[in-house]
Amino acid sequence: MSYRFAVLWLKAFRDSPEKVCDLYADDFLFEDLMLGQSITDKADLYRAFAPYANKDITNGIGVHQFRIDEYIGDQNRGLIRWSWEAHGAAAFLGVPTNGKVVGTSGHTMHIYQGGKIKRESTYWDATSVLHDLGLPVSTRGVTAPRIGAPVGV
Amino acid sequence: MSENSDHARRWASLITSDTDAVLGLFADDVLYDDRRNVDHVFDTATSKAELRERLAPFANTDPGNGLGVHRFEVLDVIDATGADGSRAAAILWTWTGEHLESFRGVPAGSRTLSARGQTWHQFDAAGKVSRESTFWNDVPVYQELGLPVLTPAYWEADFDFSSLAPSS
Repeated sequence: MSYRFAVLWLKAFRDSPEKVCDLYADDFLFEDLMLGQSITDKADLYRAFAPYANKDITNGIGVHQFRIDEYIGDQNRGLIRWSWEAHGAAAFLGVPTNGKVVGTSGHTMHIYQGGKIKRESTYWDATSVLHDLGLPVSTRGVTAPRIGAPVGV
Repeated sequence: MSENSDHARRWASLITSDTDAVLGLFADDVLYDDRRNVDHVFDTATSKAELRERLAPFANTDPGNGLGVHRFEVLDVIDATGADGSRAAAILWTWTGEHLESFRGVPAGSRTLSARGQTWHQFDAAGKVSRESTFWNDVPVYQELGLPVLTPAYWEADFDFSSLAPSS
């Protein structure tokens, strides 16, 4: 749609799940397979977005800050490159944060119809967060050497 | 087959078979991101030489050197629009790796691993890929390799939130 629409989309995350759901067509496909989500039902979509509207930084859900890094596309379809930080989240994918602010980047492909999101496909970099939280994963590519392996082995 | 679908299948085939040929699909002034950008010096490839470093391991054919033998299968191609109305496409794919010593630094043992991902390509006027944005879904692989990573289905109506409580 536009950079502005992408900003409104992310502002709706923080506002309420109702506002986010309003941005999707009645017949839609929402996929964030990183979270195991392939959703075509508005009630499921509502529950998927609910944590992002949390405003209590002490309850462990986290306050989720998003920004649009870039929108590339036109009125009908676009790629949104974004960044995210969670403040006060107790865990990320089940891994305790121990009070750390966690964050990463990702991209979302949108197809629009009638001013609404008809299809969404999102992928993002989980590895960089898990690395920041101390898991033995490398941010240097799929074939990066085993963590702790001697150089050249 | 559409132009974008044809491109996707060619890219998926060449990336694991012929590094020179897959590099030939890209423009000289390429901009390539396949991870979170913390420092563009390391995280964004801006030349064919830098891109070669990223792509060459996927064309490895030696099952004994630990780099793995790789395969990409195209699941779907979404026609997209690039900057200034240029042609673009989002490619949804499945990767399979065999004979890897490790996956992103995690010992892989002898497992055959599989992950999904999404690659967006923008094309220049000559039909070359001028820009790529790629992210992988590494999480199921980490789960397969025994890392304590969870994907709770919290959006499902009957989800038990008490299952998220830390175990004592």
